[in-house]
Parts: sequence; C-alpha cells; structure tokens
Amino acid sequence: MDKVVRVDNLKVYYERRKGFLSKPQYIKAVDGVTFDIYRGEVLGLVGESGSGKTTIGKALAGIVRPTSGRVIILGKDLYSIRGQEAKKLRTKIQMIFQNPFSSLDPRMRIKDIVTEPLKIAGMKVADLDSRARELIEMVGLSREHLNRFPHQFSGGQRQRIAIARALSTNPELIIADEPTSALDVSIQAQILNLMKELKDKLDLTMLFISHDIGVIRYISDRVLVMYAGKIVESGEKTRLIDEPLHPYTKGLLDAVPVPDPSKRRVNPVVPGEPPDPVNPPSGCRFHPRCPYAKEECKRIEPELKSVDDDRKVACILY
Amino acid sequence: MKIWEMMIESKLFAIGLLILIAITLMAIFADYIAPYDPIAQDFKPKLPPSPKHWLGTDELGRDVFSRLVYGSRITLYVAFVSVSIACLLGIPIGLIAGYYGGKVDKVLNFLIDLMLSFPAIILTILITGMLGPSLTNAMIAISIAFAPRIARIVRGQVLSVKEEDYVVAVKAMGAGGFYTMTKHVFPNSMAPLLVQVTLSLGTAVLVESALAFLGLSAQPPTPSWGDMLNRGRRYIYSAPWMLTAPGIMITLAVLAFNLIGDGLRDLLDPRLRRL
Amino acid sequence: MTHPLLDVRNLKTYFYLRRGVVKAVDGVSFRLNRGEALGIVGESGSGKTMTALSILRLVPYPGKIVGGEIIFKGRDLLKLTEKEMRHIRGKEISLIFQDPQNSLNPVFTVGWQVGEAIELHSEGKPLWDRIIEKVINILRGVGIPRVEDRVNDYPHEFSGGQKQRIMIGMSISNNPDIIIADEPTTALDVTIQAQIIDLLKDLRSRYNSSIILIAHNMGLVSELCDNVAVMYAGRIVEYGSIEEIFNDPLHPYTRMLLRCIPRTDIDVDKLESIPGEPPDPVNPPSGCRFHPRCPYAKEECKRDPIYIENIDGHMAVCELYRR
Repeated sequence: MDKVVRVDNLKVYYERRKGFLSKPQYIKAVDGVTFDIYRGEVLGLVGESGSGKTTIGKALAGIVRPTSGRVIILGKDLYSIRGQEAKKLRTKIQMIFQNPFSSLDPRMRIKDIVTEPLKIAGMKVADLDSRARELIEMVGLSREHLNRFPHQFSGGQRQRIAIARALSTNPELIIADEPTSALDVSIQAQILNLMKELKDKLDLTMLFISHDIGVIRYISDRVLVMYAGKIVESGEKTRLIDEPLHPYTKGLLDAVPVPDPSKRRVNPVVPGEPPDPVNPPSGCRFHPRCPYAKEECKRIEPELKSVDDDRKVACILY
Repeated sequence: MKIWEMMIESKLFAIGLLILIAITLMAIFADYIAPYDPIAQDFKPKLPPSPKHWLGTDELGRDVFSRLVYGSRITLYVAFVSVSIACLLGIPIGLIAGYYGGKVDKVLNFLIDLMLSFPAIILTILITGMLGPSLTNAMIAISIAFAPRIARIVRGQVLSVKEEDYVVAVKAMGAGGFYTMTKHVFPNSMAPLLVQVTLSLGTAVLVESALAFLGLSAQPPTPSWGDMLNRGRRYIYSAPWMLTAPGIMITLAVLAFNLIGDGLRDLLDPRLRRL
Repeated sequence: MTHPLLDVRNLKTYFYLRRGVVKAVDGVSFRLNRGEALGIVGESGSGKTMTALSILRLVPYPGKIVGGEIIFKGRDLLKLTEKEMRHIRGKEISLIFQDPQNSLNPVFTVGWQVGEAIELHSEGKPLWDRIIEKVINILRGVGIPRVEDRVNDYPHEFSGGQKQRIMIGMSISNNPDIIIADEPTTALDVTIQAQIIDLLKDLRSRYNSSIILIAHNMGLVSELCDNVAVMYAGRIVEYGSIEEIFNDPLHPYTRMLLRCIPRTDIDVDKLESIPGEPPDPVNPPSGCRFHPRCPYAKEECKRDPIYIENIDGHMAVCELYRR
C-alpha cells in the first residue's frame, strides 16, 4: 500500500527549568515512536492526557521540531527540506483543532478564513470566491455565510468552517486533533458524519487524535494506543477494541462508561495514575499500574512487536 | 461596535468623548473662538474677569481666555504627536519581543524594565535637560518615556495571542513570522493597546504641562497651559484667575482621556460584552 | 407515602441580560429520596448546572431564582435567610465542582482546607488536633495514599485525580444528606474517571448519602445512577428509572441523544445525529422546545401546554403520547 506518512523513532522532549539556577529537566512527551499512515485510511490515535498524542499531531503538522527521529511525508523528510520544497509540502498537510472557538481568527471573514491556506501557499487559484463557495457548501453551510465573522456561528458550525479551511488546498494529509471533544454529543455526531462522508468522497488520509474510544471506533480504520509517550498497541480498530491485548488497552476500554445500565463495569479499575513524563518508570512504563506485571517488566522495555499480520503490541506477555 | 453605541453603553465614555471633542474644536477653530491675539500685550495687566475679558488678563496684559484657547493647540499637538511616535517605537519592539521570545525577548524586556524604572516625568525632565528646552525636545522626551509602556502592553498581549489556536493554525499552514505577526497577532492585540494609548494621551498632557511649567517645553511667548500655570502661580493671591483657568483645562483634558480609556477598557472586555 | 428528602417544584431561574431574559431553568420539578442517586443529563445550555446551583442558592449574577419551591427536610430553601442557608451549604447539601484544579485554594495546605470545612460547621470550637485527626480519616477514606505525610502538602503537589478525591473528601466531611456533583469527572482521564465513580459508589453505600450527578455523559449516568432526568433548553423533557430511560426512552430527544453517542462496544455505519442546533436561549420555540429539531413534530407541538405522559413515574413531556 501507498504510504503517506512514515514516522521513524520519533522523540520530542520539551525542556523545562524549575528555577533560575536549577539544571533543565526534559519532559519526554514522545519517546521513540514508529508508525505509518497509508493512503486513504483514517489512523486513530488514542490515549489519555500526557500520553503524547497531541505532540505527535503537532510534529506531523510541522509545528513541533522533533528532538530526534524523522517524519517523512510523501517521501520527504519534513524537517530537513527547505525553501520552496518545504512550502510545497506544508500545503499538503492541514490541521483541524480541538477548540473551534479559538482556532478561527475572530477578525476575519469566513471567506478569508477558508481560503487563507491557498494564499499562504501562494497557490494560483483562478477564482478565490468560487473556491470559497465550493468549500463552504461542501461542509454543509451556505454561501450567505461567507461574509460573516466567526462569532456569528455556533461551535459546530465553526468546526465545519475549520474543516472547509483544511480542505482548501486539497491536502494529502489531515491531522484532526480532538476535533469534536469541545462539542455536545448531538453536534459531535453531525461533525463525525460530515468527516466520514468527506473522507469517502475525497479519499482523504487522516490522523485522528482523540481520547474518546467511541469516536475512534466510529471514524478510524486502524488505531494506535499511546501511553506515556510510547505506542503500546496498534491494529485494525474492531479487533483491537473488541479483543485488546495490552493490559493498558484492556484497562482503558474497561474504564469507559457505556450508556447501557446492563453493561455496568464489573472488572476492577486500573489503579494509580499516569507517570511523571520527566522520570517515567523503568522497563515497561505501565508496569506500576499493571495487574499482570512481573519482575522483568521493571527491567525490560518491551518492543512493539507484530503478533499477527496487522496487530502489534508492546508487552512481554506476547 | 459603532461609536454612538459605545456612548450609549458607557456614560463615562460619552462624557470623556464630549470633553475631548470640545477641546479639539477649540484647538481647530482657535482663530475664530479667541477674541484677541494671544501674544499681543494690548491690555492692562491683571484685569479680573469681566464681560470684555471672560477670564481676565495676565501680568503682561494678555487676554487669558484667548491664550487658553490657543494653548489647547500645543497640548493636543504634543500629546498626539508624541504618543504616535511612542507607538511607532514601542509596537515593533513589543511585537518582536513577544513573538520571537527567547534571548531577543530577554534583552528587549530588560531594556523595557530599565526604562520603566524611571518615573515618566523624571525621565522626560532628564531628556529635555540634556537636549535643551524646546517644544520638539519635549515631544522627543515624552515619546522616549512612553515607548517602553506601549512595548510592554504589546508584548504581553502578543504572548497570549500567539498561543491562540488560530495563530498555531496559520503556522501549521506554513506561514512566515512577518505574515503571522502583521496579519493575525497584531490585529488581535489591539484592544488593550487602544486603552493604553488613550490613557497615555492623558498622561502626555500632564507631562507636557509639567515640562511647560518648568520652562522645558514650548518657549514663551507661545501660549501653553503649563506655562500659564507657572505664571499664575506667582500671582496666586493678586490674580487667582490666571492659575485657575489653565488648571481646570489641564484637569479636564486629562480626565477626558482617562474616561475614554476606562470606558474603552470596559467596552472591549469580552467578559462584559457577553451579557 | 414517605416524604422525599428533596422536593423541587416548578423551579424557575432566569438570567436578566441586556439582550433579554434567559430562562435557564424554566419550571423544573423532581424529587430525590434518601440514598437515591439521580442523574441530571443534558447538553450545554440545557440548564442542568443552574438547576444544581439553584438548589444551593448559588446562582451567579445576573441570574435570579424567580419562582418555585425547593423543599428540603420539610423546609423551603427559598424562604430561608442567607445565614440559615449557610448552615445548609456544605453541611447538609454539598457541592463537588467540575474542575478540581481551580476549586482548591493554592496558598493553603490541603489538610487546612478540609479542616476548615469541618470547623465551619462544628458546634463550639473543637481542638485543631481533633479536626486534623478527622481530616486524615476522611482523606484516607477517599483513597489518598500516605495521608499522614501529605496533609500538610499544598494543592499543586497533588495530581488532578487526587485533587478531585480531596474535593470529594471535603464535600463529605460533614456527612451531608445530599452531594451534588457537577460534572465531577469531565476534567479527568478515563481511567481516573472510573476510579472517581468507584469512589462515589463506595461513599454512597457507606454513608447512605443521596447524590445528584450533573453530567453530559450518558455513560457516566448509566454507571452510577438510579433515576435520570433529561433536560433540554431549561426544562425536564423526560424522567424515569435508569432502565426506563436507557432501554425504553419515550421522548424523541432522549432516543436520538442515546443514538448519537459513538459506542465503544458496537460498530455503526452512520451515527444518528440531531439536525439543527439547540435553540437561542433568549427566544426559545413555543410549546415543546425540541419541536424544530424533532422528526415527529406535529402542529400541536408548537402550542402550550404540552402533554405530559406519566406511566408509574416514567414521565415524558411529549405530544406523541396524547390519546
């Protein structure tokens, strides 16, 4: 299959100084992650806060420079190309943000917002106005909306505008960072349906980041599960969610409350809290919370290994 | 929001604006409003207020009302020109410091802090003292004293605006620093800047008057409120009108800018606008 | 029939804004029995949080409770003086907020803050040592590890989940009759959320407190509650037991709401979505406020008053059931 993205042993550390004189600490937001995104698929990236999922999104969007490792998009190394080549590649990647109330410049009209990526890219478009009309109608709004300002729209409508903006350059990769988590469920459903529809119609390739496994199950084809800066499990979504292998994935899925009183949780909940990203535990990062942890889990850092064709897991149990 | 809507929203803003408009009209139409030549020493000295001389005459026999009307020109001229220059200096510094951060910010912010450690009035006296007393030098001094204030406001605003998702979004589209700053960061940093500029205009009026009072601004016989105040001080018992009239005008002008500034602050506050 | 612990009747809380009047809570009635866990669910702007704050008479400016009765243990809370109300808050009815990051004061130790909550509602003036003893017991009870070493720590030294545990500890410190939890886990991760839910379940069985859980997450309510009130645009549109609401919802809004949740346990091809947007709170639609978005809406739905179906306490405000 055609690879759009190849992420190779990506590490992103943030520097943090506690005091003026103390030596810097490193927050290991992403700590050695390798994965691919294939053309036409939606890759779901799921994890709790601090797992590094948003940082991966930013690294793919070109906003966060990796500490080490490579991000290869359409065969080019995003962080080593320069000039025109870099600009050209950048226009092929677009991002949709979590909070539609802050992702649109309040002082710009909708028509300028949705066509801004074209202007920045310096793309020659014969008729910007007709492109704006085309885009806004594609996301289910109408051309009368083009002359308005963001504050005249609801959260759901604003997210539609953000989607229109992301589609303006006909991108090869869309990074959606929790695009529905600021919305109410009824509006979330509208936006998810829209994204699914557009994905099928335009054959989009997407990295979809979310903490909500229900959303991930609905929209993605494949799923990566992250914990404390590492991928613990990956695979086709239905199999991964129905038969999780990694103890963390199991615990995470168990913890999600299901809107069905006959399916109340019976298993004990995962104890403890995610580790400090400055000093993660040795060995497997989940071992202090893992009900199956053995002595060697503290020593051996498990690699992400294939268990069958499309299923990988980082746990010594397999 | 339209100006008249803002005036309905905030009474104090409306009062401030009306006073400012009155003073501005006075400055523009001084030639028609002032009954006499402000410089000519045509009358008996220290005449008390009368129908002929509404605010009396000064110790050299000049009509106080006419001098007051012409004095508004100097005051507004100095305030607007020097604050504009302060903006021209301060805005780019604030933008660069806030947007680029790191070492650039540390150096610029240190300089801003250094300048701000002097009270504005001391700094301006220092500068005019070095450059020599004149109207131009007074304006230069005020601009230099106010630029760090403007820069600090812009910097603080930029620091918060650049974290907004819409700025990150533009960066993710591959936009350069200049484009992002001018097109997104600066326009969205305007509101507090506008408030600061208005309040600075008020302070500039005060500082200019103080410089004139000390003889460091426009030189006699040019009519200026500060100079009139200084002259009046010497005759406070024999001719109190000489002191009172410019004193009230300075107070009104400063009050006007402060009311407008406070009004703008309330009107532009998004928390209050929601209601 | 025994009296309910809390009986809210026709509660109305309005916000007087420049744009007009927002009827945030517009005629809400429900009962809560001792030991019962009631879920109030709805989307943002449905009035669920304002209902909770109205019970404690903590409605923020420019909101005002303009009508109704809140009968708690035989007394109407709306008729009490502010001083009497202060004895109720925190002692008999306590509140857990959504965001544990902001609800603890950063400049005082955790032990001091929980102790203060106890001291405020104590008879006389107990010795501080005795209070701290009690604080340690409470914090141990809500699952703070190594409590003895940690009572003198400051809030920032605890994680978000632990802060919410401390908040819960504070809210139960005076054995309240009712705990109102306003989205207590929204700011937390899923695994931590599950821990907090377990804690609330455990406390409920230990102290026999009643719980009002305000939530937008239907799964959470299903996990914890006995009964559910579904709110839409300031009104309760359906009320029933957890089984009735989830297995046999009557109101079209409840039905559609349940079907637009992306499920973790089943695959669906297309989510059901509710067309349109929630109404403008200043100018809500007449009659049933859901009618502009309802696929079953009829002419009658636009008129007031709307029909109330009530089968053995399972109540839905909907014209569909008028016979």
